[in-house]
Amino acid sequence: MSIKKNFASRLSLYVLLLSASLLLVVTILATVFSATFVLNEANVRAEKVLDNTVLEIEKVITEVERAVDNVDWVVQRNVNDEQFLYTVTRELVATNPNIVGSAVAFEPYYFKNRKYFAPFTYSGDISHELHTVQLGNEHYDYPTLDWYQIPKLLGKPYWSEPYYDDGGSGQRISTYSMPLKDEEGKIYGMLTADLSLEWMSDLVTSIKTTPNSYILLIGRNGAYIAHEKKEKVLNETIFTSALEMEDTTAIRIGKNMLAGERGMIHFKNDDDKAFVVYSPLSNGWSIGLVCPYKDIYYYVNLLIIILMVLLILGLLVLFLGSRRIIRKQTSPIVEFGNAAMTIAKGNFNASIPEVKTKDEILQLRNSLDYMQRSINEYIVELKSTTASNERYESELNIGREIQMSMLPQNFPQRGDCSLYAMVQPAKEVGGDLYDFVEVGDSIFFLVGDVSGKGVPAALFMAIARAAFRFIGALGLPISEVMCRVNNCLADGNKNEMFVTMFAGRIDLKTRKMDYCNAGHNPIVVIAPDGKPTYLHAKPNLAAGLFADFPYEEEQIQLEQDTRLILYTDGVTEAEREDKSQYGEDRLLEWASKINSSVTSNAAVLDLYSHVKSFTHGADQNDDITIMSILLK
Amino acid sequence: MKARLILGRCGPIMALWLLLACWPARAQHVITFMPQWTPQTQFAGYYVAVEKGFYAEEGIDVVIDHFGGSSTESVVEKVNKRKVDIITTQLVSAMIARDKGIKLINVLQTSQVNGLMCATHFPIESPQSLEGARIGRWKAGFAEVCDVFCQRNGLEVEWVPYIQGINLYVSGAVDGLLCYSYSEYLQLVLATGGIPKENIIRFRDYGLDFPEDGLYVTETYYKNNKEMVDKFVRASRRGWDYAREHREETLDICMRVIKEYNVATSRILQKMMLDEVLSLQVNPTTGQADFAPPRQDVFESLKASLTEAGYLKSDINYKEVIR
Repeated sequence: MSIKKNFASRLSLYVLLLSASLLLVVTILATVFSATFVLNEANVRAEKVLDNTVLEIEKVITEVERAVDNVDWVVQRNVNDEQFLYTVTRELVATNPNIVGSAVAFEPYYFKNRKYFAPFTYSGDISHELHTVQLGNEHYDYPTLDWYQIPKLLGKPYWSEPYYDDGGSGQRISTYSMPLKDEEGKIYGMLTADLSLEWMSDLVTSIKTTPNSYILLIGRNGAYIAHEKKEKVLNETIFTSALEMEDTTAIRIGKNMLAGERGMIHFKNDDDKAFVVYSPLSNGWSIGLVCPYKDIYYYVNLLIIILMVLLILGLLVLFLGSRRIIRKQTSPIVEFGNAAMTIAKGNFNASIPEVKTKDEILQLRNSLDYMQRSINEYIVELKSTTASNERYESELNIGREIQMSMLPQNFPQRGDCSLYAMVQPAKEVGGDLYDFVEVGDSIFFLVGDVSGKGVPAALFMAIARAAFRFIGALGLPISEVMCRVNNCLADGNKNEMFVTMFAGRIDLKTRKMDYCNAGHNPIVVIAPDGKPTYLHAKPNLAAGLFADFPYEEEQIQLEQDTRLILYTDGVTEAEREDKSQYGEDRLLEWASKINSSVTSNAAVLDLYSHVKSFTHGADQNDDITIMSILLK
Repeated sequence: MKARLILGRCGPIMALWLLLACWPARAQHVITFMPQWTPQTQFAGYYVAVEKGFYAEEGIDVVIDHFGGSSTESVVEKVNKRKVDIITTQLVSAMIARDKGIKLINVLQTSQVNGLMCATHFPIESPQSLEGARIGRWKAGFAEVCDVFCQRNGLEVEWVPYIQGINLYVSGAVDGLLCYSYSEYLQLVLATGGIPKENIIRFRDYGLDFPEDGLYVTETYYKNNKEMVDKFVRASRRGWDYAREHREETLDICMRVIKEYNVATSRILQKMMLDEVLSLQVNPTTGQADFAPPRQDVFESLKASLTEAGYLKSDINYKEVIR
């Protein structure tokens, strides 16, 4: 089942996502705090290690400087004792394990006829046997070398930049040079001590605060004196790679170190972030300790990985567990659903599962149970109502049949007159009526419309029709007929119902028509030439309202092929959906197209069809009655 | 037989040994060639010509010897004493040598633009800024153009001779240092992280744009070995052209040579040097590295300057020096 269709899985997933988000935030915060703490600790530790290293180097540097300082005054006193000078240099090397060479070098021609004079003692690189030689010749013009020239120009002691001592110890050394000055302060020579840097390389390469950390030591010329990559030593400066890569941070580090500053800078080192703490040495060099982030954050990263694995496993357990619990807790809902479906399919007595809890599930169960009972009650009531409606409907149909049977269906078949009529009630029963009675060579007819609709109108119509049929057959003038019918209907008419009527009698021999219009629509008279007109009559009240109302009749001479169209307002007031009505003009327009060759039957049906066509299927809002009388 | 590079430390002994050892099988003419300084990309074209066999294709066997283990004798003296056949040196040095009777002939002018400059610890607003300054210069020479500059501007400068001058500068023992744009200046940049532009003066900007490095032989050698010299020059030009088009490969070749001589340097420094040397070979007039010989008007101007500075006592004929 897909997760979209499974409530337990979906809810579990929401819980999982929420939990994962919270745990992720917590993990990130914990990681950030841990990383910051670890970095700070690494900085502190690196500075401590660097300080210790500086102290170790300074101790050796100081020892060398002190050794030279200690013999300086002795040399000054015995400057003319050549043998003594050799002895001094020899003693300096012999008694100081860090010193691998020592010289007392004099200015050119300090001694008459001697351009170069520089007794020099050095320790062999393998045997450590002491050798004493005289420095200085055309190939070794020491006055132009750094260890002599620079302190002479500076006028103060100087540690030379490291160099390979090819001619002496064969080691990488730095020379400490102490200018020898006469009483006037003029420099006449240099007392030197060579410090082997091999121990320094060993020292710095052995120092590691983390597996990949390393020490770098640079001279005043930026050249590496010590570096984890030995090929860089004396071949590259701290700016070599920085300038090529245009690494401004690395350049800043180098400049700070050369400026003798102490500090700490974060930078990018071989595609990995790192920080370097640096500190100056008293001889002008600078030492730095580089610590890559990957080392510093190793345990933090490991912790993150472990946390993430545990997090994923925990979330998986949470998901499965919560889904199981939710499924169990919501299982009654599924059963309720099944029960609801059974009820929906018609089994209204299906059993609804019981629940033991007293929570929302129980509320749901009670609601479902209430709903089931309500449905059952409603269905019982509905059955009863339906039966009543069916009975009522049946009775109405019977009433309709009775009402229809009250209206004459056998229309006269005469050579001098054609009559046809129809009633179409708006409801099962209606209040419209028509009737006709043949009395000798005359025919008595009427069309009426009872106020209101439905059963009351139908009953009133039945009374009106019965009264008309009885009184009309008496052969009384039409006005008298109307008066009597009116009195009959008005008697006991508590509901104040009434009926409009158009009643007429045509003498078929003379085609003279007496007629009385009791509040009814004017009839249409279609002359033999086909021209239709409305027959306007004196205004008489509708029947049933006031007893003894004096109805007046009128008379008109009709001609052969004259057609009379009688109708109720259900025709002219037939409405479309937009409330527009059929109207008298449209009726007259229709009538103009009906000539005398059309039978009354066809004319009635055609008018009804025309009205229905106009209303476009809109519900019929009133009873429709149409009668056509054609004189031949 | 393939041309070889003779290790400086082994010097002439090894060169001689190799020469003798190979002599019976040798059909090619042997030329001993000596650049005026230690191995570096300043001489890249010659290393490339050896490595790519351009000399061999010309039928000559070239032995490149860097000083032969002695720095006390200049290349001019070496070639004069017939210890080597062909040398590189500067036009200035060649003219001064001829003044002293050492008749050198320029057979190829590689440098077209002067690279001599001075870097100081202070801003140089005008030549007078150098007045009284303590400035390091090569013990071996190469600074005659600067002397002309000082003389023209009436400058009194305290000169400090050096062999390797970088530490003189960074220690603050001198106020400034004479250097070449392709050599010491680049070392200074790598030692300090950069020299401010205002602390630099280039002498070519003061009417002293005299071409520098070229190939030189003695008149005698040229007279007796004109064909061989021509072949050497042709192959050397090919070497430089190749170096210009294949810089990384050239660097590989140079670093191998440098490593053999145990010179403390880095590939990056040598790359910077190669780029600068090649840029100085571009003739400003044509915009091409066309190895154009020094123009006579430039030659005469340099001669006048050197005479004015006291380096030349005799008149030197352009056509005698420039082939």
